[in-house]
Amino acid sequence: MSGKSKKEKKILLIIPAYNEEANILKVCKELDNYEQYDYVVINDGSKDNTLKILKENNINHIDLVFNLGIGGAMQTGYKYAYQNGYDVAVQLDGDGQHDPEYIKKITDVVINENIDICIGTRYLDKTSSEFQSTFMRRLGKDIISVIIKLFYGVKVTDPTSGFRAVNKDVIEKFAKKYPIEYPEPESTSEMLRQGYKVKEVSVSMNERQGGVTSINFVKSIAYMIKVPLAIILRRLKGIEKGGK
Amino acid sequence: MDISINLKIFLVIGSFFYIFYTIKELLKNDLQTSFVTFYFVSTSGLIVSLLTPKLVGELTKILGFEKISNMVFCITIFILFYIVFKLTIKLSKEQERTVHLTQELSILKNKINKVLEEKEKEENNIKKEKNKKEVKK
Repeated sequence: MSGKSKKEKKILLIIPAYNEEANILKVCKELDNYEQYDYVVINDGSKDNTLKILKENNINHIDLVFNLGIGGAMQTGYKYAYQNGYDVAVQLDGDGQHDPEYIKKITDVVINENIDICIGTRYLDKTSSEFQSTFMRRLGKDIISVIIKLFYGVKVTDPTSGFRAVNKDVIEKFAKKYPIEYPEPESTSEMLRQGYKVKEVSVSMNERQGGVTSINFVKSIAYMIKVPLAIILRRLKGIEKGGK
Repeated sequence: MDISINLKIFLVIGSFFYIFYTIKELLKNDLQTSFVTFYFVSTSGLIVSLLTPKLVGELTKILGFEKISNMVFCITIFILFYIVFKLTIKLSKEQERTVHLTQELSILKNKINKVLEEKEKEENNIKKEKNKKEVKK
C-alpha cells in the first residue's frame, strides 16, 4: 500500500549547504542509491569549494547569489519544490547528520497518515540514537519544547530538528513565507498556529562527518532568548481554527 | 524654568543648519519625500518652540516637566525612537524582498543552466548524426 502510493508521489530532498566541501559529495553519492527521490542542493554562498564540487559532479544544485542563511536557503528549496509540482519535500542537512535510511519513515507518515509535517527526532527513543547532541543544544530544544506545549498545547519533543518532511500544502505555504533566522522552531509553531498537523517519529542521527558546526556559546544564548520570544509573540496572533 | 539664551541660540542655529542640510540632501540624492518631511517638520517644531518660550513654558507645566529643556529632549528621544522603529520595519520588508529576489534569481539560473545543457546535448547529438551520415556517404 505504502509502496504503491509512494511511487505516485513526487518526493524532493532539499539539502542546504554552506561550506560543506568535506561532506556534500559523500551525502549526494549516498542519495544516488535512492532512485525514488529527487534531490537539490542549495549552495548558500559557500566560500569553500562546495560549488566547484557540485558543478564537477553534475549534482542538481541551486547556487544562491548571496548568502541568505539556513532559512533563506531552505525556502529556496521549497520554492523549487512548489514550482516543480512536488508532493512531499524533505529537509536533509548537508553535513551527513541525517541518515537517508529514515527518509522513507518520515515521508510515509506524511503520505499515509494525513499529517502535514513529520519531524524526525533523535530524542523520542533514547536507545535508538547513539548520538544525542550537546547539553546546550538539548537545553535549548527542551525550553522551546516546553514553550510550544504551554502556548500551543502540542508536545513537540524536538522542534529544532532539521530532519522533516512536509506535504504539498505546507510546501506552498513555506514557498511564500518562511522564517529566515531560526526556521525550524519558528516554522513549527507557525504551522501549529495555522492548524496544521505535526507528528514526530524517532530516527537515529550521526555526528557531523566533517566541517565545523556554526553554533557557539554566545549564539546559543541569543537563540534561547530570541526563539521563545518569537514563538510567544506569534501565539498572540491567535490560533487559526481550520486554517488549512 | 527657561532655557538659557546660549543654549537657545545654539539649538536654533543647529536646527536651521539641519533643515538646510535635509533640503540639500533631498534635492541632491532624490530621497523619499516622506523620510525628509518627518525630519523637516520635527526640526521646525523645535525652532518654533524655542522662539515661543511662553507657549512651551505652559506646555511644560501641563505635562509636569521641571524644565523646558527636559521636555524638549524627552520629546526628541521619543521621536528618534519612532524613526528608528519605522526604519526597522522598512528594513525588515526590504530584507524580505531581497531574499525573495535572490531566491527567484538563483532558481532561474538553475533553470537556464538546465536548458543550456539540454541544448548543448541536442546540438552534440545532431553533430554526431551528421558526422555518421557523412562517414556513410
